[in-house]
Amino acid sequence: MRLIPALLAFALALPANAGQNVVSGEAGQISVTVYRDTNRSAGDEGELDLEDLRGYAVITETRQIALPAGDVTLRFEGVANGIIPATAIVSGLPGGVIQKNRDARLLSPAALVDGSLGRRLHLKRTDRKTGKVTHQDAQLVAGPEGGIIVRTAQGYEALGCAGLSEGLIYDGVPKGLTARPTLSVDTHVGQPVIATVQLTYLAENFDWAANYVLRVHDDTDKVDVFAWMTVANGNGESFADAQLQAVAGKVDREATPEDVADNATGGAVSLECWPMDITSTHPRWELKRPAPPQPATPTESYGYSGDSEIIVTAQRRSESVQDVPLAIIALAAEQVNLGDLKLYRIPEPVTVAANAQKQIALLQKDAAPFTVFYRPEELNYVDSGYFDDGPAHRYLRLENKKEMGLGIPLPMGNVALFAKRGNQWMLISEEGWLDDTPVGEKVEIDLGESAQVEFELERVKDVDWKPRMVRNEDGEWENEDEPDIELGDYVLAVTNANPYPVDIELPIQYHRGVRLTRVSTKLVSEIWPTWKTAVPANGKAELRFTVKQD
Amino acid sequence: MKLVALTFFSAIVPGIALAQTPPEPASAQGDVAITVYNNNLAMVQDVRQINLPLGRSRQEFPDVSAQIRPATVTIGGEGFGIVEQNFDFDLLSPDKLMSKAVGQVVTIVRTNPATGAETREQAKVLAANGGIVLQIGSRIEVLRDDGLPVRVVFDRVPQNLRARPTLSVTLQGQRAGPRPVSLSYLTPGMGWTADYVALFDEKRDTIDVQGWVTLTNTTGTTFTNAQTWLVAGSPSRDSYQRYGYRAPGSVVLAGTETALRERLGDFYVYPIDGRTTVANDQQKQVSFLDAANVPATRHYQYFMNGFQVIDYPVSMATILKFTTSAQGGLGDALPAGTMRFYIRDVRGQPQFIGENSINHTPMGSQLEIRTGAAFDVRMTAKIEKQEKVEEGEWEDVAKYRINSGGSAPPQTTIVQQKPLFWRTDMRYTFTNARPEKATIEFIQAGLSRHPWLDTRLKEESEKGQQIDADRRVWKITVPPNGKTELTVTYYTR
Repeated sequence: MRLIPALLAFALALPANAGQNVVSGEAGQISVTVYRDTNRSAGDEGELDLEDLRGYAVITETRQIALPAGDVTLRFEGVANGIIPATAIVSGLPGGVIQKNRDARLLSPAALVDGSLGRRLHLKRTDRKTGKVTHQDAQLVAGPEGGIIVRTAQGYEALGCAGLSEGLIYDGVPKGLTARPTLSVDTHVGQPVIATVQLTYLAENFDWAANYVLRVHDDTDKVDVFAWMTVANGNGESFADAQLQAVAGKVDREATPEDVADNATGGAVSLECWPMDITSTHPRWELKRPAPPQPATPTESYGYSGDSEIIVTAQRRSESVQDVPLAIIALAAEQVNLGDLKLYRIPEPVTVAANAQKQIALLQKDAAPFTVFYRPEELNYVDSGYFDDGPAHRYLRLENKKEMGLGIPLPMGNVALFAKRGNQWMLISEEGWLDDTPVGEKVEIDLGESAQVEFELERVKDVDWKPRMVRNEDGEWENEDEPDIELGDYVLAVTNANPYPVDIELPIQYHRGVRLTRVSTKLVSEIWPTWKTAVPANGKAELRFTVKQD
Repeated sequence: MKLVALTFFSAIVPGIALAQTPPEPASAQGDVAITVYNNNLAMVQDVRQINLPLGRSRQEFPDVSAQIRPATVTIGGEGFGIVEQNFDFDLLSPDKLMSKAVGQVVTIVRTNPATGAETREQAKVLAANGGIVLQIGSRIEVLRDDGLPVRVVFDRVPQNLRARPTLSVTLQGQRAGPRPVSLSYLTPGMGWTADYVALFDEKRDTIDVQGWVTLTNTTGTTFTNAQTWLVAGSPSRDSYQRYGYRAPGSVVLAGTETALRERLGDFYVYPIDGRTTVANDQQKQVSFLDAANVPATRHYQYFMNGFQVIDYPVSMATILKFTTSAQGGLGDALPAGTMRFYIRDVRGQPQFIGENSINHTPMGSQLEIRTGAAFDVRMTAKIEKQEKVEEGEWEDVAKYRINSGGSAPPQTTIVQQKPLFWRTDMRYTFTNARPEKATIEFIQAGLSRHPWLDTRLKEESEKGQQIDADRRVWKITVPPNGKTELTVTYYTR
C-alpha cells in the first residue's frame, strides 16, 4: 500500500511534445559579436557596469546534431539568458524549420499547483511529536492564488491552516513545464542524419568599450596611441573558445520586444488562510508573508583597465625607478569594414566568461604628432550674455591621417593621457573622450581644466536693439520681437600664468541678425571665424570686436 | 465523540465522490480556431460536443481564455435556447470558504500533541471577523485559541466560488442529446508581429528576406490543436498605430498592388499551416515569406531642419532602399514588425548591422529603411554669409493718421519698406572615408516655416529638387576617400 515508489517516478516525467524531442548538444564553434550601448557617451563612459550592461551581442553557435527520422522538436540548451527569442535564426536543418517556439511555463511550486488543479494527488502529514507520516489521497480544488484547498474523503480542507505539518505530493509534472525558458524548433527529418545546425540570435546584457591610453614621451610632441577593447558579458552563460568580434559605429535598435519569459517565474503560491486572530492576538492578525527578498548588496564591479593600468604603472615606478619598457602586445584585434560599421575581430579563439569582462588590445599607433591648445569648455555665443568665463580647458589635437601617424578608424571611448618624465610615467588626464572618428578627421581630446589659462569676456559698451518691421506668421507687418542678443563693444581677454607661451583657439559664435565689426585681430575662417593666437608666457592677449545689428 | 486513528488506509475509504475525478483531465476545449490581430487581441472559436438534457441546464465552459472578455461571448448551436450567461470570477480560497460557512456546521479535528490522537467534533461557525468563533455544543470557542493544531473540514464548497474564472451558461434544451455547441469570444493576451531577417549583399546590391510571424500567448490558457489565422491589421482602436513613432525612412511611396494572399476586409490573413498548439507563455514563430535576390541599394541621408551650423562632423544615416513590388521587389505585402539587417563579414558569417520597425506595407511600396549611422560618411555645415538684403517692390508697412488739432484735417502718413530678405550662404561639406564612392541624399527642410515664410533659392552649386514648399533635396556623389561641397544661397523673409 506504499505510495512512495510511485512518487519518485515524477522526476523522470518530461513534458511530452508531439514527435521526438532532441536536445542540442554542446555548441561546437561559437561566434560572439558584441555591439556597444551607443547611448553611452563622454559622461558615463569609462567603467562598464556588469550589472547594467545595455549593449548586446549576436551569437552564432554551430552544432553537430544527430536527428532521427520523423517529426522532431529540437531544443536548444545553453543559450545566453539575455536571448531575444524573436531574433533566432536556425539554419542547416535538412527539412527546414516548421516553427520556432519559446516556452516559458516554468516549473515551480505555484505551477505545480496550477497545473494539477482538479487532479488527484497526495496529502502528506507529519506528526511533529512522533515523526509519524500519514498519506492521504486528495484532489486539488483551488489554488495557488489566495490559498490552496484540497478535497479528501472527509471533506474540504484548506492547506496549511490547521497548524499541522502538511504538504502536497504530486504524481507527475504537468505537461509543458520546463526548468528554464526554452527555445525549440520543430522540423521534419526524412532520414536519420547528423546535421550541422547553426543558431544565430541577439542577446542582451553584453557591452564593449574602447579605452584609450595615450603616452607622451619626454617633452616630445609625439604620442603613442593605444586602446584596449573591454568586452563584458553580464549573462550567466560562458562562451568557451569563441570567435570574438566587436562592432563600432552607431547601429539602430528598436526597443527589445517583450519576451514571454520576462515575467515567467512560474508564479507565486500564497498560503493564505482565513482570519486567525485568537483571544491573545486580537485584533490584529495579519497574514504571514515571507519577508521581501533583500536586495543584493552591490558588489564591487570588476577592475577597469584604464584605472588599474594607471595604478599598476604608478606602483611599478614607486617600487623601482628603473626604466622598464612597456610590455609588447601579443594579441590584438584586426579591423575590417562591415557595411558602414567597423568590425574588430580577435584573431584567436578566446573565452567570453559568464559575468566577467576581458580586455584585448584594440589598436596601437606609435609616435603620432600632436598639438595642444586652450579654449573654454562650453562654446556659447559671444553675444548671448552666457559666455563661459573662467579657467580654460586644455585640448590635445591629433590628425587621423597616415602621414600624421594615425590613419585608422578610431571608435569612441574614454582617454587617459600619460607623460613620461625621466623614468616615471605620470597621469596627466583621464577625463578625455574621443568620439567615433573616421580617417581624415581631426581628433580633439579634452584634457581637463587648466587653472593657469583664463578667458574673460566683457561688454564695454551696450547698444540697444532697434526693432524692425517684419511680417508675422499671417503675413502681416508688425514690429519684431526683440531677440536675446547683446549688442555693443566687447573685449575678450586671455591670461596665461604658465612660464611658457600657450596657443588658444576660440570659435567666435554669434547670432543670426548681427555682424562682427571692428575686430582687432584677423580671425581665421573656419566653420566659425576663429581667434587663434599664442599667449606669451605669464602674459595676456586681447581681442576687441563690436557686435552690430545687421 | 469518536476517536479515529488516522492511518494510511484512511485514504481508501470506499464510496466517496473522489472516484469520479478523471485521472488526467484533458483540456475541455473542442475544435479550436483562433484569429489573432496585431493589437493584443484574438478571437477564439471553440466547438464542443455537449450532451444537453431537455429543459433548463447549467453548462460550464472551463478552459476558456483566462482573460476572456465575457461581454463578447457568443454561443451557437441547434436545439436549445440561451437563458443566461454568467462569468464567475469569485475565486475559491480558504478565506472565502470560511466566510461562506458562517452559520453552518463544519467538522473540527483536534490532534493531541502528546499522542497524536485525533478528536472529531461538529462545530457551528458563528463569525469570521478577525478570528473564527465557533459554537461546539453549548460552548463558544475561538478556533485554535490555545495554539494547538485544529483541522477544519468543510462538507462542501459554495457553488459560485471557482478555482478559476468560469463561464457558465444556462440553456433551455428543446431536445435531449449530444450536439456541437460553438463558443466564440474575444480575448486580450494574444498578439502577433512580424520579424524579418534581411541579408544585404553589398557587392551585388541585393537582399534576401525571410519573414516570420511571431505569435505570443500570455492569456493564461493553452489552446490545443488550434487552427490559427493571423490578421495583419487592428480592427479596433489602436493608439500605437495612430500616435506611434514612425521610423526615419520607412514607406516613402505606398504601393498599389494586391498580394496573392487571403484577405479579410482590408486586411491580409496569414494562416499557420496545419493545426498547432499555442501554449500559454509561449512565443511561436512561423515563416511566411522567403524572397531571395531582391534588388536593394544603399545610400546615405541627412535631414537638416533650418539653417544649422555643424562644426563637428556628424555621421549620415545609412538607408537601404527596395520595393515590395512583384516586379523587381519582394513581391508581397508586409505586415508590421521589425526588420533586421545583416551583412556577411569577410569570412562569410552574417553580422547584424541594424534594425528598424516597419508599418503594414502594401505590395508595390517603396521602402527606405534606416539601419544606423555611417562611420565614414559625414558632413559639416557652415553659414558662409548671412546678411540683410532689400529686394522687390516697395510695400506699405504702416499707416498713421496724425491729428494736429484745431480745424486742420488729419494727415495720413504711410510708411513704406522694401521687403527685407535675409541672404544666407550655406556651405555643406560631405566627406567619405570609404574606398567606394558614396551616394548621398541631403534634405534641407524648414524653407517655408516661421520665421522664414518665403524662401527663394538664388544659387546652388548642384541642381537640387524641391520635394515640397518646405523641403529641397540634393543627390550628391562623394568620391572614394574624398569630399564634395555643396553651396546654396537662399533669400528668406
